[in-house]
Amino acid sequence: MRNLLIILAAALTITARAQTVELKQTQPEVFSTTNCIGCHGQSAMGGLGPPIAQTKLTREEFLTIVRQGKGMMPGSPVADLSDEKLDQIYTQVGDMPYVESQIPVAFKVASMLTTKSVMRIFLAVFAFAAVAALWGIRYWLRCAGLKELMPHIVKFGVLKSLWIVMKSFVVDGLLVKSLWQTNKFRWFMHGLMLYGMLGLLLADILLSISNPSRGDLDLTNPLKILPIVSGIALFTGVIYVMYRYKRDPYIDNGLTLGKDFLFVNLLLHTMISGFLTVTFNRMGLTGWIMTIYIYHLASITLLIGTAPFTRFQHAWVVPLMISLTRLTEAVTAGKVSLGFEREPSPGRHHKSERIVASVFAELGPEYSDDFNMRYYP
Amino acid sequence: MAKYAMLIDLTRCIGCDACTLACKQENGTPADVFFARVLNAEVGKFPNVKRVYIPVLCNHCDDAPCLKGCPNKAIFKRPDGIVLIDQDRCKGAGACVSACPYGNVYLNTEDTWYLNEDEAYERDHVKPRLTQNKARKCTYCAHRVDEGLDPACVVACPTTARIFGDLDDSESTISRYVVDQEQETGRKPFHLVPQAGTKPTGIYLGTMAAQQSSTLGNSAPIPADLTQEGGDK
Repeated sequence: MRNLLIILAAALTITARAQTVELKQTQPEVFSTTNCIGCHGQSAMGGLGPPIAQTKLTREEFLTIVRQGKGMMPGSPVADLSDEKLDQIYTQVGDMPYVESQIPVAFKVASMLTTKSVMRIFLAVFAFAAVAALWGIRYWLRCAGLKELMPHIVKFGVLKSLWIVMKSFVVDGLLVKSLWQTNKFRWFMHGLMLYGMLGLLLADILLSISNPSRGDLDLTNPLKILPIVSGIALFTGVIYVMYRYKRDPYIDNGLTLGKDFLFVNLLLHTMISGFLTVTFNRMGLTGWIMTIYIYHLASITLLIGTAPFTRFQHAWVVPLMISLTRLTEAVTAGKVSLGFEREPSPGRHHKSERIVASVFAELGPEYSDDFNMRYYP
Repeated sequence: MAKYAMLIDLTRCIGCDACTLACKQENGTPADVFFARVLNAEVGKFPNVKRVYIPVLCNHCDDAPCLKGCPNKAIFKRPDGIVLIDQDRCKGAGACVSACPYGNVYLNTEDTWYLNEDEAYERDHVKPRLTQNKARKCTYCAHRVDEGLDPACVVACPTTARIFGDLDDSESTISRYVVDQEQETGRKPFHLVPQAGTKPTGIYLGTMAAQQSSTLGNSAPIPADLTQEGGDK
C-alpha cells in the first residue's frame, strides 16, 4: 500500500511536468526503480525534494542521509536498499545532467516554505486580520453608541466599567452563560469548538517556544497530546455545525449565509488537512506530506485572513456586544445620571439622544444641539 | 419582491402616542416594552422654544447589525425586508441589544404584565408568543402585513403621519408621497443616525416652519395667518 502510494505520487509528479521534461532514452536502471524518484524526480532534478543530479555530496554524506533521513525525507534501512545498490545510485545520480529549467515548481515552492518564511507569512496575515478586525470593531462600537455612553461611564467610574466588561468577557464570552442556561447540548458542542480552538492556539504558541524547528515529538508528549485532543474536539464541533447547517431549514438569515458557510468550510478544510498531515507523517507517506501540508497552511492563511469578514468575527464581536449590554445595564442601575433603575432596552437613553441629535441635524440650524428630552411613554 | 418601508412625516406628528398604544394593544407587549414609541425633545430658550415629536420604531435595516451580531442566528431578514427575531432560537445572549444603534431591541430578564393571571387576552394571546429573557422588537406587524393590512401604528395614527408600503413599487402611496413632498415642499427623506451605516428602511420627512395644508392632500387655500408672512405680523 505504502509503495503503491509513493509510486502514485511519483507518477503524479512526472505527469505534472511531462510537458517540459524530455525523458532521456537511456534511463539509469537502479535509480528509476527506487522510491527516490517519488520526491527527487525521474531525472533527479527534484520534485517535492531537492534536485540531486550532479550531487556535490561525498559518498559518505550521501550514505548517511539516505540511511538516516533528513527533514521530510525518511531513512531507508539496508533491507530496503542495499549498500551495493546505493553505490550505484550515487554514481548514476552524480552522472545525470543538471538542467536548471527542469527543477519543478513544486520544489521551488516547497523550498520557500522554511520555518522562517512561513512565520513571516503568518505574521503578515495575522497583522492584516488584526487591523481589519479593529477597523470592524469601530463599526460595532458606533452601533452601540459608546461615544454617547462615555459621559455616563465617566460618572459611573471607568475602572468599575472595565471590571464589568472583563467579567462579562469571561462569563458571557468564555463560559457562554446564555447557552449554558438554555441549551446544555449546544453549550457542549460550542465548547468543543471554542476550547478546541483555544487549545490549538495555546499548543502552537508553546511549540513555537519550546520546539521552534518542529522536530518530531513522541505521541505521549504533552505538547503533542494538547494539539491532538484540541484538534479532535474542534473537528467534532465543526462536523456537528456542518451537519446542523445542512439540516437546519432556518439557517439562512437572509444576510450572512455566504459568510457563515465560508467560515465553517475553511475551518473544515483546515482541520481535515491538518489531520491528514499528521496521519501521512505517521504512515510515512512522504510523497504526500508536503502537498497536504501546503494545503493546510493555505487553509489557515485564508481562515485567518478572511476572519474579520466571515462568521469568524462573532468570536470577538459577540462578547464585545454582550459586555457593552452588561455595562450599560450597570451604568443605568448605578443611577449616576439617569432617574430610573433599569431599562427594558439597555442603552436606550443615550441612543435616543443620538436619534434626536441626528434628526435635529437634518432639520436645520435653528434646532441646536442643546436639547432636553422627556422620557415617556 | 416587495421592499417594505415606513415613512414618518414629522410635520404631521402631534405626539399623541396613539401609535404607542395601538402597538401595545396589537402586540401585547409587557410593561416597559415599547416596539413603537415617541421621543419628546424640547429645544431652544424661552420664549423661542420648540417641541419636536419623533416617533421611533425598529428600522428593519437592510444591513441590520442586530442580525449580524446575533450568535444564534435567531434574527433573520425576510425577502420583503422585514427583520424578525425567532423567539424559539433566541437564547437571550444580549448582543443584539447593544448592536442596535436605535435602542429598539428589548431584552427583559423578567416580564411585568398589565392584566391578572386569569385574564384571557394576555394569557392566551400574548404569553405563548412572548417568553421572558428573549430579545423582542417591532415586527412591522408582519402578521398584519401578510394579510394585506397596514401595521397597527399606521392604522391608529390620527394625522396620517405614518405611511407604510412598498418602496419598490413606484405607484405605492409611500413612493408617491416621497416624490410629491420633494417636489412640493422641498423636503428630502432622511434616515435616523446615518453615521451607523445600517441602511434603515424607516424614512423620515422633516418639520416645516409654516404648515402648508395644500401639501398634505388638501387643496384648500392657506389661511393668511398660517403663512410665514402672516405669522410675522
